[in-house]
Amino acid sequence: MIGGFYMKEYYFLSGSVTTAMKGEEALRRAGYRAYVFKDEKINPYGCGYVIKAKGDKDAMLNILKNRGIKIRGVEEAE
Amino acid sequence: MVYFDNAATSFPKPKEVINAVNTALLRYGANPGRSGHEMSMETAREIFKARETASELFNSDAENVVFTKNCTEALNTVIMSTEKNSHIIISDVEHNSVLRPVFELEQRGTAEFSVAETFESDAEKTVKSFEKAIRGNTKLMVVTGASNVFGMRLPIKELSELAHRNGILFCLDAAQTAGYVDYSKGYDDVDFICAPGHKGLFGMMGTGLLIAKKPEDIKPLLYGGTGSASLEYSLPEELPDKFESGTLNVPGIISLNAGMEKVKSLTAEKKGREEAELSAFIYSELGKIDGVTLYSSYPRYETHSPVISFTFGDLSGEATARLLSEHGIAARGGFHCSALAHKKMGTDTRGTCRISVGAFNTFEDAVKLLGVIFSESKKVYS
Repeated sequence: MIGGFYMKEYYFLSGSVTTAMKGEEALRRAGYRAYVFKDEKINPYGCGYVIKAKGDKDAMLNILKNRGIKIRGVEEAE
Repeated sequence: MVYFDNAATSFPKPKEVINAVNTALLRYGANPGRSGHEMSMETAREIFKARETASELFNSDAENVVFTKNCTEALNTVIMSTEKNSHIIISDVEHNSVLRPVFELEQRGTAEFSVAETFESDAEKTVKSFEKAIRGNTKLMVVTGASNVFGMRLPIKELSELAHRNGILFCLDAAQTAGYVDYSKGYDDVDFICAPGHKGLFGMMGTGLLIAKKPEDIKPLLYGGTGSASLEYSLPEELPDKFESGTLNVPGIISLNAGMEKVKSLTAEKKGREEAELSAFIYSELGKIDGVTLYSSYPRYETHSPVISFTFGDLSGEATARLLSEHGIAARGGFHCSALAHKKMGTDTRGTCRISVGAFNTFEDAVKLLGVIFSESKKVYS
């Protein structure tokens, strides 16, 4: 599993629950701890679904990009 | 009852499908993609699994899998997106779910359509016939995988290649072939696949699929809530939300996922070949019985779906089906929502009786069917 306690956590903001779940699965398959939750405050783009994952931001974004998963924004988790 | 009406909907459903519906009603009762509580998230996960299974079966991405209530809705979504002053080509064996929308577009003055003649088991002649029908403004071809009445399969790979060579979108009506033909590879030129969930894919009635490989070229049929972009007045561009306004048929989709998993485990082609084999046996034996008139050809897997059209004595198709029903056999008589196909085959006055074999029909079912027709024949002809 990638993402030890010293790694940062990020919120990947998605436009639909389908995209969020596809992203969650892509990250999990790559060995990241990832899960989807809903918070319209964090994700103001409409659906409110957010993928929370721990690890290297750019590496995770690359995985999502390579799977064709459209992400609306990334924020560091609180 | 012996069920030979699988081209209308498959029956019985696999036990995995029945169990999935039960589980759906007990455990996945929340609205997916709307809320953040546990049951809504778990339900959304089940729906996502169904998208993934469909994307494997039809070589697509999960977000390009749109759930509809049936194949007709999927076909309407594609056909009704046609731009003004366009031209559409359909085959001469299309179901009314294709004919009526294109006819409606013509009545509205939006688009014109041509019906291309098809030639049974002759891909080259059929492709030439479609090629001749192409005009400068042809934007869409809609073609069935197989006639729902006579079973002849059409050369989808060749026709979709022809469409793409000419910059035309290609839509496959897989009503009779989803779960019978393996569409997971080799169909790269097909832009849209429309399929019922409740026939060869074993799901519940009220389910359908639109595999939209070119979503940018079509418009939604319905507008409303999607659970996303809630403060916007317009639909989100995000897929599949753009094409799925309103609450989804969750138990249906979960049943469909179980059905598609079953198809995956059997493999569509193996399942199809077994159905075709039983259908071929029935066809051969039917042909030996006095009074039987066959309208369809010998159902080889490569060229046909597992349906047989026939009549008995001077009975109409409907009366032949009624006779079978009196003996506990379910088949469909009449015109099968298929004006074009019946006109082509000259059966548009009497109709035909259609026997359609499914994955769970057995040799014993076939013997019972043949026995009924044979004993009726003996009464009349001996």
